[in-house]
Amino acid sequence: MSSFLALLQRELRAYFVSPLAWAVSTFFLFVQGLSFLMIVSFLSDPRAAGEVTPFVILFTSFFFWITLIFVTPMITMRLVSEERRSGTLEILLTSPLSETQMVLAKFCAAMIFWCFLWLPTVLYPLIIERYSDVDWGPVSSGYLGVLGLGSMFLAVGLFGSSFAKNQIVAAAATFAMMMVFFLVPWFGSLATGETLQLVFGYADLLSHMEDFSKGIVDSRRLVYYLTTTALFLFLTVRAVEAKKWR
Amino acid sequence: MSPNETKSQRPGAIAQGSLLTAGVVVVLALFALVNYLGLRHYERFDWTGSDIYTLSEKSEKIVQGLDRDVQLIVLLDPSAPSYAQVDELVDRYVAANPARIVRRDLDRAKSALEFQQLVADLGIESANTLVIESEGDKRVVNQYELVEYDYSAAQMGGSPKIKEFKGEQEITSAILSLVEAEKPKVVFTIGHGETTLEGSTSQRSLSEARRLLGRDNFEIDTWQSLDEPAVPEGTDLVVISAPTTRFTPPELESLSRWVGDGGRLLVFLEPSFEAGTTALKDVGLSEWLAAYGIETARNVVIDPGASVAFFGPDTIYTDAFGSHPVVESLAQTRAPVMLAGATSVNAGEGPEGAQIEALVSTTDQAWGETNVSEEGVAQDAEDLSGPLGLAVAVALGGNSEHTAANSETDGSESDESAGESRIVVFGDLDFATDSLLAQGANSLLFVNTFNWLVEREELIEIEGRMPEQTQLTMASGEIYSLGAVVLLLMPGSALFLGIWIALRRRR
Repeated sequence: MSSFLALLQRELRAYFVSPLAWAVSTFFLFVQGLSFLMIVSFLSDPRAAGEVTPFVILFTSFFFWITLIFVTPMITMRLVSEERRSGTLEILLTSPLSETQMVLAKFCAAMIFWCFLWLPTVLYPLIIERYSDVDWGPVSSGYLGVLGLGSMFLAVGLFGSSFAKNQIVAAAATFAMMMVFFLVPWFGSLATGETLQLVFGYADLLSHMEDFSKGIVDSRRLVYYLTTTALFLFLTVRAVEAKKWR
Repeated sequence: MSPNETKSQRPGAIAQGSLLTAGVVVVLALFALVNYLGLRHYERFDWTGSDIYTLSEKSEKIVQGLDRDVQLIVLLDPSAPSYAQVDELVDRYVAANPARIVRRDLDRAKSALEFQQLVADLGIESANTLVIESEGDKRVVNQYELVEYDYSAAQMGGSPKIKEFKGEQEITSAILSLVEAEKPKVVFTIGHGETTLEGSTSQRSLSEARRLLGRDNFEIDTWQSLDEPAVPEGTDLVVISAPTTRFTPPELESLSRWVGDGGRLLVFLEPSFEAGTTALKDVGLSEWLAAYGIETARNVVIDPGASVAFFGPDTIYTDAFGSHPVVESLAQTRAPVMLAGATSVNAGEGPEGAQIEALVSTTDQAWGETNVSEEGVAQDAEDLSGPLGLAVAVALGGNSEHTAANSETDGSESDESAGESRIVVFGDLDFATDSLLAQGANSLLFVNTFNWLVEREELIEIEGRMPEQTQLTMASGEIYSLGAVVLLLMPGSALFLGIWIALRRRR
């Protein structure tokens, strides 16, 4: 456990002393801030239909998905590939730390950084509350969706990083895998069979976030995020293990 | 590495590789299995403060009690204004009973032939509909029946806002109409100048009321009570709507027998005038209703405390409701109803065991105007003072003393196993006409009354939902300040920290 915590600490330090992580934070907060400002301007227009709450837009807008697509590979790209490039992976693999513990420590560090990125955005509902009533239920479920999606894509990113020596290759691989997830609604629109439509509908992330942002928490979404996260973490462990016997 | 080592390691690597592959296959199978189970057995939770995405208890009860499969076929185009609400609502119904309710989305591009065939079968004009199907029977809900819009913002160049989403009322009613074994039969008396649902007079049209009753699966018929002495067989509810001429004693005896045998009666009274005079007419029901504890009067209710601007003094609104099931939900939401030219109906002394409750009342500033003239209205000594009742509901237990008394006087035999008799009397019918039915909670009051009278309490209280809306009132200066915080200060702080860390590391 102490080895796990030591690695977690090391990973967190690596995030917070890295200028890249702060550049990512700057980009993230700027894009989210821009999105929030546009929502506020829209809702302040008396002609606006006002049929949505600001958080439905915040958690489902183009800006939300753009940040998700670009930020998660940037968070995970160096996690294993950097160890591989610098040769420290072999040292880690011969340490008392198991491969599973190593992967989990790196994943937990990425999740903590993901939460850190989103933390300042809690200010947005607090600002809205000054001018209008805020229903904190949908705000909380929106953040739950952010956590679920984040954990899934960070696991995908960790897997992408596990088989590449180069960080850029790792980010590109993650981006490519994430695109497959985003193409699900398109596959669904092509599918004619009811079963296929059901499967694609089940994995449609856009509709998932729509529900979360409205305040609907569906156990199917949570099962999907948790199992996908677990699957990619398992694959990452196996990819790291393979390094040992290859 | 020596050639011998390579040879000895190769089988080990192959074994490791096989083990890895097998492990991945097992985990993938496990992943598929857990997701399959998750897809089959799931729960939806509504975290909104107002439970806006939760089915009403009534709908939930009906849906969970289904004993046959129901298919919800969505023919709505995803670009339709109500699509998002319908999409979510249909999912809610499926989640409430996944074993019985199946959702089906019919895409007009992908399933063009099936789509066209269904549209032709249903004979629908607009393809933007929701079809509820069960064992071959189908009900169609048009997109315009699902949403009520508020066009007031359109005057300022804004888009219409969704005022009320009535999807749950429409879908639950459609499901009920498909699975209900028998349609409740409602007969409207004719022959006394009544306003019926069949036709409209120059003053009153009840076409929208008829649509609502049809939606709730009521079968509507008429009863010429002068020709046929007994209430037609199979009748569940008799409605007397705004008669202008008197009921004869044999007709009243028929009605007494009907009520005594556990029948249900709904009376809409309207003040009417003697020909060529301003004297209010007696339609001969006052004495008969008084025996059931319902006091009516020949007056027009005036309520300066609840008058409606730009309307006459006899048009009033009220949110003074009793605690009766018919108005319970209205009392909770304080949704007002609007009435025009009503006559007072108060709860009086009824037979023993009768439960008499006022449904709707006026303010205490009201009075019952008896001297209607062109000079205007003013309270006189003979006028009843407010608060005045505008509607009263009576429930009589089976075989009450009153029933027995009626049987003795008319020589008829009362049904010993008769259930509870129910009577509702309104001092107004105009609230249910096309011009006023959409106002306030008028339609809810109208439909709730019918459903309570035929003991379909499960359909009472399904109200339209107001979508969650946010309107901010921020001045442009405040928006600029906000922009400075969220676009400069917050990302700027992160940038500053990043630069500071980079500089420190360089040192």
